[in-house]
Amino acid sequence: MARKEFETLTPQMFYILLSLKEPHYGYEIMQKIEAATHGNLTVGAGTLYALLPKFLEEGYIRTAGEEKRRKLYVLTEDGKKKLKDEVKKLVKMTADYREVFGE
Amino acid sequence: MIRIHDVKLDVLNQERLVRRFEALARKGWRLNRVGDFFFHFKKAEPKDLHYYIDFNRVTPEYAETLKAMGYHHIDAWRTMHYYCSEKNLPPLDSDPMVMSMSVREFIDPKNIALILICAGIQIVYGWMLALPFEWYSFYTGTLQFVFSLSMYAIAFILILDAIGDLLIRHAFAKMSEGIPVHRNRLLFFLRMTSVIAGVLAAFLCVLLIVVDCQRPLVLLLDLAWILLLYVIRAVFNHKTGSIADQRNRYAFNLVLFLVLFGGDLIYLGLTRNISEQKIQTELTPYGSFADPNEYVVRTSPFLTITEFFDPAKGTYEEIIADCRNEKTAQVFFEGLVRNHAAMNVDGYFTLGNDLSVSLLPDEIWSFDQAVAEADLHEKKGDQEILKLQGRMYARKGTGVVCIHLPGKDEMDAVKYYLQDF
Repeated sequence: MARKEFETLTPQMFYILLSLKEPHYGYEIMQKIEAATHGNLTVGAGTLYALLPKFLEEGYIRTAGEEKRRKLYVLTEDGKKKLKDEVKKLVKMTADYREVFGE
Repeated sequence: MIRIHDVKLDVLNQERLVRRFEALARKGWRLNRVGDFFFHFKKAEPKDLHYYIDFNRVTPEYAETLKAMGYHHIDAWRTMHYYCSEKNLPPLDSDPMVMSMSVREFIDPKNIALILICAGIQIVYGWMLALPFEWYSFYTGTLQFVFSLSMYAIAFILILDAIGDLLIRHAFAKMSEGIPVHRNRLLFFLRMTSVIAGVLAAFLCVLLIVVDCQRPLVLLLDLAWILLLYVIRAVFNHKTGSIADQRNRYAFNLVLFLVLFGGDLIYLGLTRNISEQKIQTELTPYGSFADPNEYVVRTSPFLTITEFFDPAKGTYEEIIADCRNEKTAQVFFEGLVRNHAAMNVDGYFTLGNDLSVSLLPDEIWSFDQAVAEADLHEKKGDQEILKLQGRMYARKGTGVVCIHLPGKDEMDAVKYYLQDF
């Protein structure tokens, strides 16, 4: 069972997982998120390196070798499922919002 | 420059702490080392520096990334790392939920359990030492009772520490769920506990030094152990580099505690053996009350106190050597009465065969007072008999005893004891 903190992903958690469709190492993940969100979201190094071991423990990501002594991480099937569930929740929330406000 | 700090307040007040460091850097003081209780700042050129606090374990890759990004590592207290940079870099912890997780890992429940176990040991130890005493024995300066109170004080400090840790964990858990926290109330409580713990700890340090000064060998051993452990820690930290997580600090403190605790237990064990040996070799099978060597006062399950006399008036050896000297015997006796009033002993001492004696009641502090309150008082030479609260007491020389001789009338017992009354 997923730990309580991961029941609902925060934007930072969501984008870290999203950026790991392809294998990347820590510093690359931060750069990729900044580029993907056009600078709207910055993930602190502390937040990233605190989450990586926890995501590994939960099975959302796995290591995919090393590059210049830096570990590469990539999304697992469980991670993909977690992202999909999260998106479903967001879609549902968006639909509910539209139903109320009709926008 | 050295400034006092409290880790719990630092955890709760990170933004304020960072602002304080930045203001000091502008005045030319840069954070250099983070100790258990003190920050050390070194003099440098005044500069606009930015400080960052992080609670993550530092892996080599993480350290390398931070370095590449421009975060300069200063020092760490366990996994609470302090960084600075000349550039205004993004905060290390950008997600409050993740920060809350890291802080709750930093204040590990295992460590809280460890603190409470230590407090439990202290309470049991203090209780074992205090077992034979009344609360007011503290004022007689009885060493073991002072020890016992110290144990309770240490336990109290540890429990306050554990409560503070639990409250911080709880506060961060609430914060991560978006529930508002009464931060000021929590800060006030933590400040108060810090002050109480600080005052108690200072008192205990003075007490330890005063008590240890009476037993120089133990003082030297204690100091040597502390020094050795600090050297080991310094070497360990030097080898691993200052960026290493200082996870060994709790283990270090536990070892220090066990060594001091163990050292004191060994000391008590040794002194107990010595006391019992002395009593065995000096005990005569049958004798008069005026001979003080015949008294054994049982105190706690594992302690025997032989300090019946007032140390200001002579040492135990002096009294032993000169126990038939009336003046010394009186000194001994007065001390014995005082200690009896202070200690919850049964007051009966077997003097061979079936004769047993007890001292004056607790509320009677002198023979003159006993005479004034006596129902019956007879005197012959230096021997006296008095009846007080329904019991017979005899005074021979400087000794006062209550006589019980099973199967005999109390007056007969007194006469039997005094022989020629």
